[in-house]
Amino acid sequence: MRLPRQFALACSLCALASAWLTAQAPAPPKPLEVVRLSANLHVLIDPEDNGNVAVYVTPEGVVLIDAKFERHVPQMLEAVARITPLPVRYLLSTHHHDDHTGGNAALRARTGARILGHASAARLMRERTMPGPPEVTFHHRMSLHLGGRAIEAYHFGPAHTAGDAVYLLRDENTAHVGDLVELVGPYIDHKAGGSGAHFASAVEQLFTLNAATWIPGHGKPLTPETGKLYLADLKTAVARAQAMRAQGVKKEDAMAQWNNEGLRYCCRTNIWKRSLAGLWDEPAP
Amino acid sequence: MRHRTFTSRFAAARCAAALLAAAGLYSAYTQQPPAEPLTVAKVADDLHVIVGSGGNVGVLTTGEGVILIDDKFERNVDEILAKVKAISDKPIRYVLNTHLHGDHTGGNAKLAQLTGATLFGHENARAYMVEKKMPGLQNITFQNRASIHLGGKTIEAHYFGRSHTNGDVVYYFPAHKAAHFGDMFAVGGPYIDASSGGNGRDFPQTIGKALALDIQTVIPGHGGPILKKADLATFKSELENAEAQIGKLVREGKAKDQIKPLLNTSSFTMCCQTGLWDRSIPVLWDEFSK
Ligand SMILES: [Zn+2]
Ligand SMILES: [Zn+2]
Repeated sequence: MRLPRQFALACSLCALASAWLTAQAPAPPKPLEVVRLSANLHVLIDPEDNGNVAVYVTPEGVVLIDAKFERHVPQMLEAVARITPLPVRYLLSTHHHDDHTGGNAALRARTGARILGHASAARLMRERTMPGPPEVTFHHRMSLHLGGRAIEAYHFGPAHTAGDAVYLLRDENTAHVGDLVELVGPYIDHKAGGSGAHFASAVEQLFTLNAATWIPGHGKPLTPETGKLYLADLKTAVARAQAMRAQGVKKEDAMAQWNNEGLRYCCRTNIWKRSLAGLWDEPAP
Repeated sequence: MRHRTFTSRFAAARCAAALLAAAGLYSAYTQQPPAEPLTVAKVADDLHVIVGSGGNVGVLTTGEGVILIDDKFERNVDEILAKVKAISDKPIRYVLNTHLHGDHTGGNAKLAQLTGATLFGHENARAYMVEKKMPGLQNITFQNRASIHLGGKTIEAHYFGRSHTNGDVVYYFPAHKAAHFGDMFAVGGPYIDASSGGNGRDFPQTIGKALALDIQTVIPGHGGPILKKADLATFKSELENAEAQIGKLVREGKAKDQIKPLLNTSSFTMCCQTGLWDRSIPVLWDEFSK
């Protein structure tokens, strides 16, 4: 997720506000939490809940998925070095937002890693002169082979942004799903080509990967069982928003009139509510 | 002048074809023909083609490194490296393969080992290389479309469907309005490698999709090396013409070994001249007999 700065202080999540404040006045980042999913797969979570970084160790080097902000790069590399002496060879981006790609350029400079991502994510980063856009980009499907392991990259259509990539670690039975699954969201970044109408379809396609574990862009790893509950609530919420719009609720009033009733796994927070105005601007369903 | 150009193009292609015929096609793809000094042709200051002994090698130079398209046989690697060094002092960062055949991917393993380059190609090409236990497997594969961005320059990788194999990539250089076609365009060919998923009846429409790219300059897999879009369009229409003739002969009940002398391709300038083409005729007979 990545929120316009005018919303940051009003955000119900203190974590977001503190991320924003930290970005203004750099302070030494707090220690990373290292979650071990297997001998070869760890997740780096920071207390401010910036984009989750997957650390995948193969016999020929390390693949990272996402890169948090530039200020996290030293501690990310320290965490990797505690897991393996092997070098970082590839960095995969789930989408363009700077809480996931802010470390791209520094990681590339320090490790020589090749950066991969979706074509629209790379285009958005270049248009916005964000540092470290992906070098190798794909449209629908791409695979990375390293040390006998395969990582499959998929694009399931516009959802959180126009350039969301999902990475399946076949040997680990685990997928990094980026911000397609965000229990405190999701956020639909309409300015970056995100789509409420298509979001649930993209989430539905995650189940075709048959992964036992999903690493979300933010928060702890979860199972597809939780993903099902999230998807059901997401469908309910999008239908509810579309019904409000059909009943003539004004775009400006959508946020204030939003009704959380029955929603437990998504679409309750201001992150979601700020997506509503953009939903009003989408083509009518 | 124009006639002479065509003659020399075919001479090179016929030479390659004779080698293939002599060695047997399979071994020609897996073993190495006699040494042949390599030469360099220039498309632009930052785009060259290394010609000779195996497939044409595209060389794009950028401020952040060099990208190669195809890499001939393993025995050519040292000479390829020397030719690249004469063009740019930057390291080779990527090697992109047009398809799986050993005269285009034979240098992969050695180049990756010597330079640390990332190997890239189509997912179907890699799958065949795994099946055939070929060395130098690609690190990155794609399905329908991908791009490589380096030093402010872009190469687009396009998959348009089956032709020479079922994993042929067209590498498009938008800034140059140029593209490397691999063996989707082998002057005097094509060869349809049915054992690697190639398909003759899809071949012309696959080229047709590629012709929709905004290109002027065309680098073929063999021959050339610097041709025009119109040459590829001619290749396509001549292939369509030859296929129509084969289809008609099959419907007339002609046997597989009767077809070749009955084909009228003597006026063709781009297609259907070499021993590689001769090996495609029975493949097309099989396809039209289904
Ligand atoms: Zn995001
Ligand atoms: Zn070939």
